[in-house]
Amino acid sequence: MTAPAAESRRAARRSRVTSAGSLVATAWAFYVAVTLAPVLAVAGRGLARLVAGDAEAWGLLLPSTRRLWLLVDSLAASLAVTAFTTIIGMLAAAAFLRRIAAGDGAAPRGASLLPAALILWAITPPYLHALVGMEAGNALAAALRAIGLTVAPAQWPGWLAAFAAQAFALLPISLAAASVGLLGVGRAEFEAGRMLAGRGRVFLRVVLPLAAPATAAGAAAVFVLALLDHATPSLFGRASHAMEIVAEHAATRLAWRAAILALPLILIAGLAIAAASIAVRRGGRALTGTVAMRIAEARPLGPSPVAESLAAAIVLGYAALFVGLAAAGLGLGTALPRLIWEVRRDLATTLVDAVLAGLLALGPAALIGWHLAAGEGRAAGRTVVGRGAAWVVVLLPLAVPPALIGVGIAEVLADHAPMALRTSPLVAIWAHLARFLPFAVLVVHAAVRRVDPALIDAARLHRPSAPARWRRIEGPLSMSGLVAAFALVFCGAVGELEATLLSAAPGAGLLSMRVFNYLHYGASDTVAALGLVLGAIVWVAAVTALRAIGRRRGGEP
Amino acid sequence: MSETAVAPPLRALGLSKAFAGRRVLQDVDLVLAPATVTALIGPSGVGKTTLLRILAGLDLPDAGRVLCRGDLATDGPRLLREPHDRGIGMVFQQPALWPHMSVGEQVAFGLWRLDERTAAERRDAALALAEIAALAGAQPARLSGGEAARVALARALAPLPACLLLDEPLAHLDARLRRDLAATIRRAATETGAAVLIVTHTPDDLAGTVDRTLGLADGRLVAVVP
Repeated sequence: MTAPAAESRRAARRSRVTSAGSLVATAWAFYVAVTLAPVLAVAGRGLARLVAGDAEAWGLLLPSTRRLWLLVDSLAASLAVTAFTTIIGMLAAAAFLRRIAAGDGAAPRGASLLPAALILWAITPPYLHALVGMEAGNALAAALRAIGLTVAPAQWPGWLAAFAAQAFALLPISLAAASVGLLGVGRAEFEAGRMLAGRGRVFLRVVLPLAAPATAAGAAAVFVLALLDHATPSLFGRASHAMEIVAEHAATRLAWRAAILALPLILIAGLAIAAASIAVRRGGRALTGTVAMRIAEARPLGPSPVAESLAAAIVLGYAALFVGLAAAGLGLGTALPRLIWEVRRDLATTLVDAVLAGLLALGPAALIGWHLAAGEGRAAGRTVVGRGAAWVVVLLPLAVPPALIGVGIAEVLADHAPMALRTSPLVAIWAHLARFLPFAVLVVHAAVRRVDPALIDAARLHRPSAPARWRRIEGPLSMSGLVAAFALVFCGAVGELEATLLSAAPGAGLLSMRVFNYLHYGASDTVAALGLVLGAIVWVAAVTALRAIGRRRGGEP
Repeated sequence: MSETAVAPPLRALGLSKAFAGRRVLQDVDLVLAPATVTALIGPSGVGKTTLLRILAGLDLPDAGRVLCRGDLATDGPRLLREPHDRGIGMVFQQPALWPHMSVGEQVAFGLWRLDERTAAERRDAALALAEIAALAGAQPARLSGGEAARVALARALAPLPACLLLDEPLAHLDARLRRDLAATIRRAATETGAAVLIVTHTPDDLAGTVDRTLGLADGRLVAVVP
């Protein structure tokens, strides 16, 4: 090879590396612009007023007795939901794993069913669980009336009803986290304990501490989602601090006021996410192999068969109630096709919006997910501070109340965009990306972390060009993560409500907004049928994604 | 059923076990006497670990019985005594140390029935017997392979089990550590009176340590003449 030719090759390689770096930088810029910029814009205005000593701003930051009480009440409600889901999730996970594991090395029965069921449950929008709660409340009230007790659904305490709706909507997150935690406990670690002490002591002293990081991550996720959710409590008439953000903005149309009100929630949620993140990094255990393989090795790890069976009965009982009501919705017969025809425009808009949100999320999620994972596996020239900052950028949007995301997007558009853009379907897509792009990044990152580093090292030897390596090796290896990320954003976008309600123009023509509006008038056959349609879309999408992922892994989940 | 007065620490009668139609154990009879070391040898996959797990109560046989100190602990596919209630200590192939507990806490884990002072004395004695008294406050992540193996041994010995089952405890150690640990196991059997059953691939490492050697072939136990 001549010297000019070698120089030309080196220049081409430098160019490819530079273009790869540019792509990653563009992905990060897109991420920040979509998820954080609107919030930072309105929060910046609020902070500027605080720095300037604006008494009105400080009056909002230092809570009045009423707002302090609201914050305490919201924290108590979120902690109650977290405690319920964590305890029931842990016990039920132990029960399900005990039942599924064959224990003798045979293929576990239902090993792929449990994660699939949890995913389908988790992606069901929370207000559909609220709908189930309303229907169940109506049925119970009717039963009580039949025996002479007159308790109308309106008299049900909103706190309890909102608790139940949030708890059962978020329960699959705790169940999944507990399952991951339990599956991470080594068989020998557990059995070494069982040779020395009973189930209860081994559970408390060995299993629980080993499963704690994953369980804590699940608990933090539930706590944050419950704390920042304003839609579900509002359906049951329960005031919440998150709702206060919406109310303040609706009353004043001043986004900076909403931003200052949101600061305590952002701080608390941020601390919860940071604590869970640290716990996972310090003590988290990577699950190797497929879920089915891990379940095959599972042992009866729980503390008490009776408590575990009770928790499993609660989970299965609720699932049966949900499926039963969905089946009742199907029983609407001829009304369902007519209703679908009536909402066909909303349905089409919702599907197009969700597909576009999913597709737009793929590129940034793939690039950022790989970028984060590459910095963890090897010394990639980035400092610990740099990696920490990258993770803060990824995780911070998760601590922002969805209502503030909606307010921020609306404010940025009002200031800088023409009316045609403000009323276009792009606004809802932005809101959906702002909500779910961080989750997509986390999913891709988790998928990349599962890839054997030896495969990447082998690829490095043969394909030094990063783009070519990504196209031929790394991309295909993380394809299941990309499929999962698309499905997650798609399903989230179909059901998303809180940010969309505040950013999209009235009459944006989204199914979720129509369902939510109907819900405020109480549960009815119409809203049940629409809820069923909405649920069917996300379930079909999730099942399709699961099958695609399963095929890529040779049929194993 | 109780034969405590003349009972050996561990007795197995007619144990049989099959996996997916493949018979791994067939009418296995075994008696372990106090303060003796028995080696169990055989090729990989022959069922040595399965036998140990059934004796420990971690798995159940299709047929046969296990008696611990004369008490019926396993009767066919029925577990009558929980693993921790059999007077059996077990050391696994991997040390299986719990990463969130110090060495002292690991060794004291099985002493929950005792008062605090007695438990502390028993813990210290087990650490001394395993020659790791200086490591009481150490965390598992800082231990070498040999030290971790000794911690696992001390943890199993601390409750003074009548019987000690060791599943290839020397497998991941170098030659010198294997010899040292084998000597410690012998001493533990002598000093505590425990009946020791040790599974190994490398019987040469146990030369001078074992009282008898058994082989497992075609699901049956056979005596091996050294």
